[in-house]
Amino acid sequence: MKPARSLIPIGTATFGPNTARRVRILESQLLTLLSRWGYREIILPTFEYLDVLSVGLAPEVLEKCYKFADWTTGRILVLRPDITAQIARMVAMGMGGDGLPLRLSYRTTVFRYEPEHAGREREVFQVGVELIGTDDAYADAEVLISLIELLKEVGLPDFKISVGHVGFYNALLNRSGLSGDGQRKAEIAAARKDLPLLESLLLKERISRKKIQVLLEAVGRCGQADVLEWGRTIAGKDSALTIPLTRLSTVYDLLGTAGLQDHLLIDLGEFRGFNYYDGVVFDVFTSSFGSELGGGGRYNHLLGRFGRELPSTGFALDMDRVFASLDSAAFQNGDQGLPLLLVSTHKHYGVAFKLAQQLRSEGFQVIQETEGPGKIDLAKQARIRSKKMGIFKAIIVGAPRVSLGYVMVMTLGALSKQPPLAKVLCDELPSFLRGQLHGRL
Amino acid sequence: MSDTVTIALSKGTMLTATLELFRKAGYKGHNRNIDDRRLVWDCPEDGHTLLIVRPSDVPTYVEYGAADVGVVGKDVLLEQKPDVYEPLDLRMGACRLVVAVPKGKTFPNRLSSKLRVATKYPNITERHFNEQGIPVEIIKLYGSIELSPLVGLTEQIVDLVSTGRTLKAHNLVEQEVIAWSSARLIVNRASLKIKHAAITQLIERLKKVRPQKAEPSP
Repeated sequence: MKPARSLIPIGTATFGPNTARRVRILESQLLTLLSRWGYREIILPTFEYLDVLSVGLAPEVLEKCYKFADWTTGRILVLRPDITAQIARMVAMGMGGDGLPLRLSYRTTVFRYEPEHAGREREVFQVGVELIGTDDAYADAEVLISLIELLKEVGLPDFKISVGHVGFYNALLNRSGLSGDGQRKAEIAAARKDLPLLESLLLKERISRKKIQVLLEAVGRCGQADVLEWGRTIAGKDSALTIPLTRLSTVYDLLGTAGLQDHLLIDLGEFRGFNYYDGVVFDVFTSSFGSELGGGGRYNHLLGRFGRELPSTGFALDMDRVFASLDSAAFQNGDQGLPLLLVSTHKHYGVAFKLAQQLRSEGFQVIQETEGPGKIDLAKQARIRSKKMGIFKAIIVGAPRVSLGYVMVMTLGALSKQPPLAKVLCDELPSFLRGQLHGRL
Repeated sequence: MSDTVTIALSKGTMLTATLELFRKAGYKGHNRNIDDRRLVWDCPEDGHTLLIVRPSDVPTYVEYGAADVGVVGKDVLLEQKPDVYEPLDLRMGACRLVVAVPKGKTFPNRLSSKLRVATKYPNITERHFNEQGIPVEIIKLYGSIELSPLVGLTEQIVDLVSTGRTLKAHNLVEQEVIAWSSARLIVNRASLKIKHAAITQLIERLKKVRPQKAEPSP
């Protein structure tokens, strides 16, 4: 006996017509909004050479990549686990054009081996942007503002963006006097806000009580301007701390000017994410989902690994998670697209085809069918077929006793056994349907 | 948005002590009768909803966001490595994860040099022996781990020890402590940001009333 095996790989999803449509509408909406900020969409290959792309990927990410052999060259190919590294590779090679800064957007999928756990997928649908070639606070703010505006526009309820700066906590750890190994362990503990572990690591290396207090408090602190204020008292005149803090404050103030500060939460201990982040970083959270919906940050040296130093920043949204967090009511407006059924006799196929084409050109969705075998009443066929396909408007062409130039329009409903029929002049059909379907089309 | 904080508590020996700690911290609604069989407990006066779940399920509830906060032993966290924040050691239910061997241990009479280790914690055990560079065959058991060396199933065990009496009764000795464990407060990553004020207050209050030193379960 064959063992019971799963028919589809773990971590993949199939979207039915309704879901697929909503996801695509959402993606298009996001990309259209981003285009108004000057971001232009690009499309990149699904797989790359591992040796080329791996320069931009952390060892932990590389371990989670799908890899396979390219039989023509003997080299190893990798399904992209991350789009930012790929875009960095592309831009560093000069394929992004000459103008700087570059504003690029994308909708794509990335692939990672993940245990089937906590909603992590293996094929992840993402929409995002990269702003390449500028290292000022305005660029950091622009990326954050566009992200917030985007999420507001698509109707994501009560979300917060947690903002931090990779440099701040790293500088704190650097000056603590921890060993290299201790520092790496402390970073991991801090990223998990595992304060008991962090404290024991620091105590083990005999770090002073005062320093320990600061390192623990920085991880626990998150809030608004008060956190920045606290950071300044800690930083004193140490430029390794004041530089990241000043950048963070400037970005925070710019978001204030834009009237969007309420969406921010400053977290000085937050520095998780891809290892190429080296500046202002952020994550999107909302109340209805247990982990981040997306995030991003500044990566000033990633492109350099591919041979062209260009300071950059960007973000990516995990579409599956955004979709799960949106109120489905938000899609009602976009829920158009109920198809019509157009049935005709064999004799009237030509007339019916013309009519169907005319309706299609005016934006209607039309499924055309011709009378079935045997002697069956055309109206009855329209009724049966419509019910089967879940269609609630049928157009009958060539029914007996209907004069030339006219069609019958049948409206199917749950209430009436005999659906009502209306005789409509062909030329008036589009406007008639529009009037009838108003609000449902 | 609901401002209620949902808290997953480990049922079993730690529950009474946990509820007492919450009461000490000023959460009056946490006076649950231990014999009450309900799994969901509303404490509107504190703005809390309590979920009573198995200890090993607490990280799952919190990681997925079904609960905002949880109370669970560090041993479970080390084994499962969930993606949650762990801001506070509640210093209750102190115990240690140890490698134990039979007194006057005998060497395996097998061709393979691999040691066999029985445990409820296969991940911790694997990490520990990997770090030491010792190849082992891990045998996952669900209880009565101390039995396995007695009947020759394994040469060693990795288990949670509080007083050490059970080990002694089975003629086993502690060879090495892998980790110290006690109850931890864990927080969902999104919840800490979205319900920041309420959760920070909870952490601060518990911090004030937790024991000065890690205490074993009563």
